[in-house]
Amino acid sequence: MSAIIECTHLQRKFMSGTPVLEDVNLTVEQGSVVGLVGRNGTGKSTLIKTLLGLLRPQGGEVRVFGLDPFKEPVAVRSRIGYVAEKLVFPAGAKVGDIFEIHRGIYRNWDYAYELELVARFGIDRGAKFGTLSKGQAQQASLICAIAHRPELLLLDEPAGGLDPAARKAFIDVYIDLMSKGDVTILLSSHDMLDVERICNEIAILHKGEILVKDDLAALREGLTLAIVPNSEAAGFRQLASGLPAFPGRERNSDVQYVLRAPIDECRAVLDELNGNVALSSLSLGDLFIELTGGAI
Amino acid sequence: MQWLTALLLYSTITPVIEFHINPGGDLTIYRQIVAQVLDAAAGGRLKPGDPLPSLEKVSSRNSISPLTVKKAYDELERKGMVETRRGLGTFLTKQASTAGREARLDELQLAVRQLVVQAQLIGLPAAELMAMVKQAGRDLESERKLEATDRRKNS
Repeated sequence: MSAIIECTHLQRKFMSGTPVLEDVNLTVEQGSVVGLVGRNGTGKSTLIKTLLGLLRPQGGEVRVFGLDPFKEPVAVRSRIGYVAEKLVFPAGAKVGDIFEIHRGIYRNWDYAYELELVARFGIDRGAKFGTLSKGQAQQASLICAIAHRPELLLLDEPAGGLDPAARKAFIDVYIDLMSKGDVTILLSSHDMLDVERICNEIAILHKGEILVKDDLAALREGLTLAIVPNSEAAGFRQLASGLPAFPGRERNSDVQYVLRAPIDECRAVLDELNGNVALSSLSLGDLFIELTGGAI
Repeated sequence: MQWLTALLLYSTITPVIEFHINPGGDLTIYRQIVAQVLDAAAGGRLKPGDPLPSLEKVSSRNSISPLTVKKAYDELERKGMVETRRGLGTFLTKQASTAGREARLDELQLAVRQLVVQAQLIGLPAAELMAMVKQAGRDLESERKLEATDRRKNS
């Protein structure tokens, strides 16, 4: 497998001068679907804009398809599809005209695919962009981003603010693309269920660096949540001393620990306490909160 | 001619399993698929030789990544539960039903252990727990009979 995206020691400040990406190392292999998650303001959008060549790295290197996106924007952009929550076209432009402009820009624009998507979403070509509902506007943007059948999709909260039905329609388009071709996707989202549906890998951006990048299932299965009643805490600590764990979090009548071991292993080690300690897997959301420093 | 036979054969094969995926569930999505195949095999809903739905179908029906479905099918193949016949699809193997049953027995054993621990916590003797298990069996039996007669009356 070859790398489609390669960031090494990438640095970038916000326009205001605040450092945001401090040392980002990220490789995305061809055909993989990576969920980029991180707290608000950690620089997910900044990272994606750097990959698009819209922002120049202030340190380190960025390569997309082996090229420098800032120096060769056309060569890189023509192979990328980009969808963001706020992607705005002129309000007075007709949707059909917007598609036509894109058809002119991209050499490998797939007109049949454009028609298929327009029919699927039920978009009125004659409508002015400014009159579309939020959902329809985003669907129109999606068509502009994917009808040239890009090799790489950069999705920055693509379904942000959409209702569940509209989100699902979006997801189904990505899944369709994945089934039909060898597309690589980097998806930034706060919706962990969407990430779980679409992605096979996850990268957590935290404090200017990629904190974790791993197979999504492997990451989830490597951690176990233990809920220990206060009365059992001493016994638990003794038995679990060999299991690497995050610091416990005290609640009213119990302590919660996140153990860095698969649930079966934890169950075996804690056999004696099995009836009293509740072991369960972590949801992606819990895992994210735990890895990025606990309490919100 | 061989491909024609294969094609005819293929058109008569309809997958008998539908997956129910919960992306926020305790199990990761690919584990849910693996578990549902094992369950169906253990319970006899899937029989040796039965086809699994194609990757694309599972992926589009459930709005999940085809890579995830592939991971599940690969895992099942590694375990010897399914085999992929080129151009035809993925099928349940002979050993799947026995192995599926064994896996279920393992789970059951764990559930029983938890039951025993709970009984011990309230100081219930093993004999009384046994009596409760037997009673639960009888209760279920009579409830089922009742429901069956109700259904007959209604129809």
